[in-house]
Amino acid sequence: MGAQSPAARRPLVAAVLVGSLGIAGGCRESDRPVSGPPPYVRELKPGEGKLHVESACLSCHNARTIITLEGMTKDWWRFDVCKMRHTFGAEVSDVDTAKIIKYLEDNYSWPDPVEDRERTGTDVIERVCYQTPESVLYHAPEDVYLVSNINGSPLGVDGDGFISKIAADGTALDLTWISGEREGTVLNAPKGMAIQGSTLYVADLTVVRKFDLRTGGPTGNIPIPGSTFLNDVCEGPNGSVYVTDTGLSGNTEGFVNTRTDAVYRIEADDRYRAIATGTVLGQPNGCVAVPGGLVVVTFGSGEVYRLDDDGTRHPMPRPPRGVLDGVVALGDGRLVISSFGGQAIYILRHDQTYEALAPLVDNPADIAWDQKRGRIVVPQFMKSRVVYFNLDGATAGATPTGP
Amino acid sequence: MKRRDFVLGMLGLSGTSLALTKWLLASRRVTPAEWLGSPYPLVKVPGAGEMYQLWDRPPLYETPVSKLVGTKNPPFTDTDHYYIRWREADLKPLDPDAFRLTITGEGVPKPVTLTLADIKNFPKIERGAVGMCGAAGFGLIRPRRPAPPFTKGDLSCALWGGASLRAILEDVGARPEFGVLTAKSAVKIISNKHPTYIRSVRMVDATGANTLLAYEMNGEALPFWHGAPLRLVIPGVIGPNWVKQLVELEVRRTLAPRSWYQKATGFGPDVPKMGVKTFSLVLSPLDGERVPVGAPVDVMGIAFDSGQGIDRVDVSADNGWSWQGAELGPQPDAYVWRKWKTSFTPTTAGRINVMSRATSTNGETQPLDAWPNIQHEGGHRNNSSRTFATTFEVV
Repeated sequence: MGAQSPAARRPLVAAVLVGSLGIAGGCRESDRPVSGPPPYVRELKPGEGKLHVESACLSCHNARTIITLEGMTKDWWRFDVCKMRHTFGAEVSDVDTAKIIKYLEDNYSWPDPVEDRERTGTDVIERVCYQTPESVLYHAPEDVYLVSNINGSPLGVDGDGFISKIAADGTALDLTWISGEREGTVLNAPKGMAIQGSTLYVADLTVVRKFDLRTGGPTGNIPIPGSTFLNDVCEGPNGSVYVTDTGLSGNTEGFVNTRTDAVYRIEADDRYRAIATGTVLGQPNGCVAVPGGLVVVTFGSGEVYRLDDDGTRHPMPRPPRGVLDGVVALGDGRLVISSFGGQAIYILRHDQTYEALAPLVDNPADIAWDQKRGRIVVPQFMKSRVVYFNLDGATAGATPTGP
Repeated sequence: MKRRDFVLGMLGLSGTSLALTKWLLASRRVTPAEWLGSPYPLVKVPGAGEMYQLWDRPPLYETPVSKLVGTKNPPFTDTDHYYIRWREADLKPLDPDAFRLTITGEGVPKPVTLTLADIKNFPKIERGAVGMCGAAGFGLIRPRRPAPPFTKGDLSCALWGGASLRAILEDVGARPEFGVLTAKSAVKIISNKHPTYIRSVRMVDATGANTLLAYEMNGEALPFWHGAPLRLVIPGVIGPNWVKQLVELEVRRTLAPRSWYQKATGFGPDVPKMGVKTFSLVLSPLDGERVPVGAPVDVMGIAFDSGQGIDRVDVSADNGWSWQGAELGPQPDAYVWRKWKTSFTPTTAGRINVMSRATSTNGETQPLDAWPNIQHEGGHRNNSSRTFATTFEVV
């Protein structure tokens, strides 16, 4: 219950209001005795999931740790539980994590206008401990979302990246389905993903890693010397995949351009070649193969263009804002693009004009298209969460496009 | 409403607790008077004094504001009332005779192991310094942050004695150009993956003339609660870096993996700047204290910064519309807080908010509002005047 929290609330706000309205003397509170401190509550509130919280949290904490933090937002509670799990190594299963977060949200979170505004228009895949999610891929045969988690620095060769398998209802089937912390698997800062046959391709800094789609086990690496920031992977014709190099590195100030911008095509036998190189590419990021070529959106120049296999670029309309990350093609030929610069998801309509689909999506990284539900799934990079929203009317007859 | 019902309702035992809660929320605006002191119970800490208990596991106690300036050696806080903050649930004292400090890493020619006696053989230096948690005021802002909800008592000031870290690093031939020093604590948390508390600090901070490997506090042996037998003390840098029960130092080029709360960003040496921000606090009158209307009230407080020196302190009794300069006491050591006082005459009865604003000699001033900090740094190192204002009852 919430009775304890208002008592712990600072008098500051009330005092500021009272003071500024000039009614300080009107309350006549001053002749009453000052009340005592709030009651010392030491038991968690009853509720579903309480037992899970007690068994997981109370080995290192006592209940006061939770009780005194009443008033955090839902996002903060998820962050806190995930911090215990990822940063401090608490051994909690995916199922228990969801139950614990739900109990804390239900019983100890307070609504927050800022968070509520951010959630407007989207649904949040709640209670999953993503860590800097960069890319979502919808895998239709299994009806799951694969989410790549950088877990820390997008440039860090830190061996702690992982790929989650999430059911469409938001249940974490396996948070660390593929994990760089597992023996025999290397994964540093995984980004874009693509599926070709039974192989999952993952861009990981300067290497494209291959995994068995059934087991999640590693099946090979394709190092691309000269690349710096391999970012998105997309399916190409005849068992090939394309991979973009955004050409980024970092120094003390932030990202720097390494001028290694390129788009590579990797064949089914792992041979690869650059189909286009040079800073004229504008730091290519997201890609999707459509009939007639490869659509690329750029992180640096904010452009959208179609790229032929001989490297010829065909400009397409430029979205209202730049710093573009992901692109997907809907079944009817329209494109959906995510923009860090606009904190928005744009759709390129048939009349070649753009419309913002989600009004405000902070840090939208590489998006996915769930054609079964007509849903755009967006990883929010810095918020460590995944949201989705439904595309009305876009689902009719929608099938994944591709060569 | 009967008092018994009220108490039962607060404990969640009443069947009508929800309705009661709503009634309480609705009725708060007029009555009863809100509790202005610490929301936490005052308890006697074993081996220390009476402090407000946030949590007992891990141990987290904040200093009552009235005890921030101690009586034994003011303006230092008495050791018994120095705030206590651990992240670990199960603490064990270390045997000082069996204690070893290892200095290792790629920036050291060969690993060195030192006993406490070895460290005490280095010339002892003493530095007064304010230790402060980065979560200051988290219990005063909404929404709550995922960190200890400290109010005003997670800062204290002590006289630290120990060996100069710079002298020891020079002695073992450590190369400062490696940029990062990782300090490791002996305390274990219950996890196989992350056995101990590790913290990376910038080498420039570690090799400053004031950084200590401290084994004394306020002239006595370092007590258990504050990291015996050896802890790091970096004046001008906030407390999370002052690693307690220090057993290992590593000289590195990059941030250590698995540093608590320090996630690599990929940019530069990756060690966040952790400087103490310019800060001030009203110590007297206390929150909720009654002062008479129409008579001058003496307001006394402290101010400190990252070691530049406090230039001025201003006080406002009208929510920041007007400010008056306070009279500054002598500036002790650079990292020790400076006392100030002023007085004002309240003209209306009721609640009044008094806030202070310190300005450092380098020009850094406390902001009025916390909101920009909350937006950009999540409230970490918040030093806004409004957050830490004091509320009096003028009668």
